[in-house]
Amino acid sequence: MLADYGYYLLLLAFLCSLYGVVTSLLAASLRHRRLFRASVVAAVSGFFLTLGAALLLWAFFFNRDYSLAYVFRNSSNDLPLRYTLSAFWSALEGSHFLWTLLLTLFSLIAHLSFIRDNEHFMPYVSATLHSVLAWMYYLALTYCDPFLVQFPAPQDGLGMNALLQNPYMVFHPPSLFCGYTLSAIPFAYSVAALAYGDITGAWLRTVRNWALLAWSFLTVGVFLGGRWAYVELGWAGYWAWDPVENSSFMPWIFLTALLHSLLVQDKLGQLKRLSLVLSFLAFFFGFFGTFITRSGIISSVHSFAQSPIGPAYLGFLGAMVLFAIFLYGFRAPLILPHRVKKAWGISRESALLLTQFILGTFGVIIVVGTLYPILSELVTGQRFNVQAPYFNTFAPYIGFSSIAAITVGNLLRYQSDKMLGGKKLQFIASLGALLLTFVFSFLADVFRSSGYAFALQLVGIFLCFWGGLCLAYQAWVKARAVRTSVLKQLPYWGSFFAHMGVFVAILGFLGNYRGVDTLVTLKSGEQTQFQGWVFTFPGIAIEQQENAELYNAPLHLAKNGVPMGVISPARAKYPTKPEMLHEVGLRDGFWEDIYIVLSDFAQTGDEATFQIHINPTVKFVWISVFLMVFGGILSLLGHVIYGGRTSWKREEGIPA
Amino acid sequence: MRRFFLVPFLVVSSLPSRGQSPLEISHSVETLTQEEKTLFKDLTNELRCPTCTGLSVLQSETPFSQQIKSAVIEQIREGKSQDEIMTFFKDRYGLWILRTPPVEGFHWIAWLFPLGIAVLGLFLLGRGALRRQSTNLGQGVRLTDDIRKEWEAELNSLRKAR
Repeated sequence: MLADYGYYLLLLAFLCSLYGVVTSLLAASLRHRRLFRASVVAAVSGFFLTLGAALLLWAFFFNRDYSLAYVFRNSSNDLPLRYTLSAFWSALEGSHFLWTLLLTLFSLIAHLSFIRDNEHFMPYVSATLHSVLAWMYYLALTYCDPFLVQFPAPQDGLGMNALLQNPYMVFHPPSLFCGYTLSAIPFAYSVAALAYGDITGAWLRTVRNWALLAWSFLTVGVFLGGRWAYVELGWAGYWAWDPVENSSFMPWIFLTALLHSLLVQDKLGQLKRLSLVLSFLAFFFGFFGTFITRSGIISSVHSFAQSPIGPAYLGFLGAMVLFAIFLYGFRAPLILPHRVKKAWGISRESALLLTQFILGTFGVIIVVGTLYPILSELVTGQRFNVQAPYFNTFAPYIGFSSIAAITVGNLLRYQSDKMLGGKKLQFIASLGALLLTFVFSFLADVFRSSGYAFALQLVGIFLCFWGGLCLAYQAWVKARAVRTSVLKQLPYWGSFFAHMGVFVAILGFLGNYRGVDTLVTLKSGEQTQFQGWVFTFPGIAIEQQENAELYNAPLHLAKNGVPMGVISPARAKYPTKPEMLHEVGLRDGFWEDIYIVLSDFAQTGDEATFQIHINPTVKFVWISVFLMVFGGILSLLGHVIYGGRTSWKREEGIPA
Repeated sequence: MRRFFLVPFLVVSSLPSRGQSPLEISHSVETLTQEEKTLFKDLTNELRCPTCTGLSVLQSETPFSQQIKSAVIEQIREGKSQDEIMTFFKDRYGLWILRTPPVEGFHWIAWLFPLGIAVLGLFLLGRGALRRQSTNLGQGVRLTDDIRKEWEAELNSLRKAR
């Protein structure tokens, strides 16, 4: 009964979005201001209706009401409270619902913010958002209805996927989905700009704010996903170039490219059409990722939810591409670049364009690699799965060239080929980087690898430090030049931290390119030695942790005779699932992580086999994400606080 | 962890396939020298775990992977080169066992495509950046001085005509 209300709430929300599409299109064609208010009302009511339905679904979860098929399949009586909360999005219906909910929320905010500046094309923005929403509601009502009822209601559920019972999985999907759904707004604005036939300064400011927010959320989401894989999957890595991982990375790449093309657009009034294309790609690949995950078309470890939703999604994606191509083809000629007096030559804008190109190339490689199973099956008849080594062949060159582009681009100025610091800076930075490379290589134990990989690592580490030193010099110059308020510089400082984050990340990737590992079997009381560490195994202990029964196999750690704590890898038995899952034992240090998986153990509890990994510089990768997100937020704050002034507007003499 | 998804397949996969005898698990990595271990890692990282999703033989502990690892160790001990060992596995299991597309036949495209984009892109980029000097009069860009002047000129000529 109650479940029916949920369904009807969604149905009403669907009708609201249709109403929103109709009214906003009418408002656009009649240029009718009050009609647009009707579509704002549709956005508001759509959001509250969806929120109501979502709360209802949560209520079912918390009441352990298994009359709802979705609740029955994805939770059970033993589930702790926080996972009952996250069970909401642990399968197809709920994650689709969460996506829809977030999209209504952001569409609501988009309908209420920046509207005075963008009044002349807001109806188009509204129409785009409402039609995407209508599509989402349609799917929620047909293919993945979370409110399907079953009778009689069972006493206990089947249980939530044990892999997803992890704190990171409480936060990872919402932040990732925030990123995806937020990128719908730059897309909507791009459609509006094309439909209206012009891009204004206000458009730029609005889109930049939304894109920065989307980028920050997406960065957090991708990071949490990697962290989850690291602590939960037990293969000692955080990134495997899996199709689903790739599809969260593709929108990130295009959003990053979009932020940089907006920069050129801001300063010079050029690359406007590129921004439109990039905002479409960022949004499209968010959806595309969902399609890959849901349809089961490409096998992935992360395909937690599969359903017959595939063909419907494919239709939508195809329609989206066609729509975008037609709209762009007919309307893009209206959008003209601002006049620039000089050829670009060697200048910051050229470096920014180069960055776009590097990011775009990387994006294309990832797309090709991800779709390769389908491509090869179409042509040769045999499915060929491209895996990590393929991507890893290209990654270093992409990484190194982006370091170069970032550094040179930052040192150059717009419309000028003068480099900040000149030859002197280059000399000092190179020398300093050489020194730091040696220090880092020793501390991070890079010398484990040899040959080609070793050469790549050294070059990469050198480049990172060189770039870091150059950017640090620029930051010093900027900091000395503060005259009125540091707030005016916030966007610069944001970019500084984000770029430093990129360098730290690449350092981390290079450091843990080659970890070491060993497989040992120990009887209780025995000890083993590996890479200077001594591991002593006292025996297996069984303990109860929340709903899981843990078979703990602690290893006492010592280095040079000094005890360094205990690492407890374990196997976990969840009451609703037959298999035993890995709980990784982890000691994360600054220079190296000790990462232990309990491969096997004797039922008697006095013998166990451990896989011991030593992963250098993983910490760097986590630190880098904080730097990047901090940078993103700083930049956003800067733009929000001190938003009005875009430089080409000043040139044109338009009051901000 | 990923291994667990595949428990049902393990039984099937560890049976002898394609009329060949199963490889035996009888060699341990620890018996190799340091250089041989590096070679072992390079090799097993390039071979896919037949029963996993997205994992290499090196990363997985399924029986099938262990058999392959063991075979690799044996052949390293026999003094075979990296290419010879790869050829052995390609012949035995087909291209399917590889994790990267081989440079042959259709699979050229996987390598040529990114390279082509890089070369073509750099060429276009270089040309564009050097020539990028837009000559249009800024129609579509609102309120530029040019438009204002143009319109004023137009208006003046109209006034004169009247």
